[in-house]
Amino acid sequence: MAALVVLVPLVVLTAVVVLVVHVVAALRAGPAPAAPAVALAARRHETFVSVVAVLASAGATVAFLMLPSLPLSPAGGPRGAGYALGAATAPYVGAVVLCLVRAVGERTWPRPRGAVRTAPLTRRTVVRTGGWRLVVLAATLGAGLVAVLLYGATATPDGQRVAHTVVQHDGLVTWGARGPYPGWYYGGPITAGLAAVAVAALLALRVLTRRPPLPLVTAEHDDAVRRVAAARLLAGAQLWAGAGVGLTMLFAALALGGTPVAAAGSGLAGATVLIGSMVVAGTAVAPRGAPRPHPLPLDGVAA
Amino acid sequence: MTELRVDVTAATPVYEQIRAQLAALVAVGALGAGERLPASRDLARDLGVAVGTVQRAYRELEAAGVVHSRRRTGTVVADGAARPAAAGAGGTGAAGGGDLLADVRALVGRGRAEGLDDAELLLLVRGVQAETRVGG
Repeated sequence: MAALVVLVPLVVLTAVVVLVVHVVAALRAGPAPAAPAVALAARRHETFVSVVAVLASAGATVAFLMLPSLPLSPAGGPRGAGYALGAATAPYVGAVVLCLVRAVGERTWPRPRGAVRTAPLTRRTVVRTGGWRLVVLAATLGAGLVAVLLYGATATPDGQRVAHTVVQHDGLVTWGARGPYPGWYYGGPITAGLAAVAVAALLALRVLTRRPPLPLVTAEHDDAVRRVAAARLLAGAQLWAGAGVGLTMLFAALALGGTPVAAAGSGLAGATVLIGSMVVAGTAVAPRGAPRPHPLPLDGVAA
Repeated sequence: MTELRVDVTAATPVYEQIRAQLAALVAVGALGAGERLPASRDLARDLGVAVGTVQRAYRELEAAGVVHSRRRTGTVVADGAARPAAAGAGGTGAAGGGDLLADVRALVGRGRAEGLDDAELLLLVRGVQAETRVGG
C-alpha cells in the first residue's frame, strides 16, 4: 500500500512530463522546408523514445529503491543488508528498463508503406550497429563480473563483510570485519543484474538493427538515425551499469580500509568506471548529427 | 551504399525487380564475387514484402549462376558472375572490354545531365536495340 502511494504520483508525474516534452518537441520542430516529413518524424520519434526511456528507467530505479527491500533480505538477517542489496542492484534495474523501453520504441516504427520501397544490400549486424560503445559496455560488465568474483573470494563467510587485522592498544593483533562489502550475499544478485543488462542491451540492439529502413530517405540517413539510436541506447545502459559497478567498487574500497593497497586499487577502479561511464554516456547526448536528409528520386524503379 | 528499390504497384513483379537489379549490380561489378547478400528474411522485412518473393528472386539468380547459397554463409555472389566488360573496367573505364561499361556510364551520366529519367533513358536504349535488330 505504501508503495502504491509512492508509485502512483510518480507514474502520473512521469506521464505528464513525457507528454509535455513530446508536445513541446513536436511544436518546436515545426515544418522545415528542405527536410522531408519522414526525417522530421524520425527525429521526433527518436527524441520521444529517448526521453521516455530515461524517465522510465529513472522512475523504475527510484520505485525499486523505495519498495520495501525486505524480500531481498535473508530471514533473520540485518534489516540494513536488505536495503544495501536493493541499492546495489537498483542501477541494473534502471539499465534493463531503459533497454526494454528503447526496444519497444524501436518496434513502434511504421512498417514500409507506399509504392516505392528501398533496402540496403549490406548485412546489418548487432556488433556493427553497436560499434565501440558495445565493446565499452561489455568491458564494463566484464570488469563488474571479475570484481564480484574477487570480492566474493575475499569476503567473510556471511558474504557481507571483509576481514581485517586490528592492532589493539596493548599491541595484541586480532581479527575484525568491515562492511558492507560486496561478497557473495551481494555478488549473486549483482551478477544476475550484470547478466540481465547484457541480455537486455543485446535484445534492444537486435530490435534496432532489424528495424525496417525509413521510407523516402537515403540509406545513409537511415543508417545515421540507427547509429544515433544505438549510441543513446548503449550510453544509457553504460551510465546505469557503470554506476552500479563503480559504486560497488567504491563501497568495497571503504570496507577495505584496513588493507590500503587493496582499498586504493578498488577505489581507483571504481572511480575510473564511474567517471568513464559518465563521460561515455555524455558523448551520446548530442552525437555527431545525422546527415541532412535527401529525398529519393522516384523515377525508373521498375523499368 | 548499394541499395535495392522496388515499386510494388509496377507491372513488373517484385521478385523480378529484385532479380533484375541484383543481376545488374553484379554485371557492373557493384556487387563483387563472394559478397554476401542480406538474408532473404531481412531483405523481405526491409522492403515490406513476403519472404517468398525474395526467396524466388534468389532462386532464379542461383539458377542463372549469379549467386550461390550455402547453409553457413547465406547467399553470396558467385565467382565469375560479372560480365567481362565489368571485370575489365574495374569501375574506371580501362582499355579493352572495359570501354563498354565506361561508355554506358557516360551515357547514363549524360542522360541525367540532360534531364532524362531512368525510364526515358531505357526507352532510348531499347529503341536503339530494336532499330539495330530491324536494320540488320
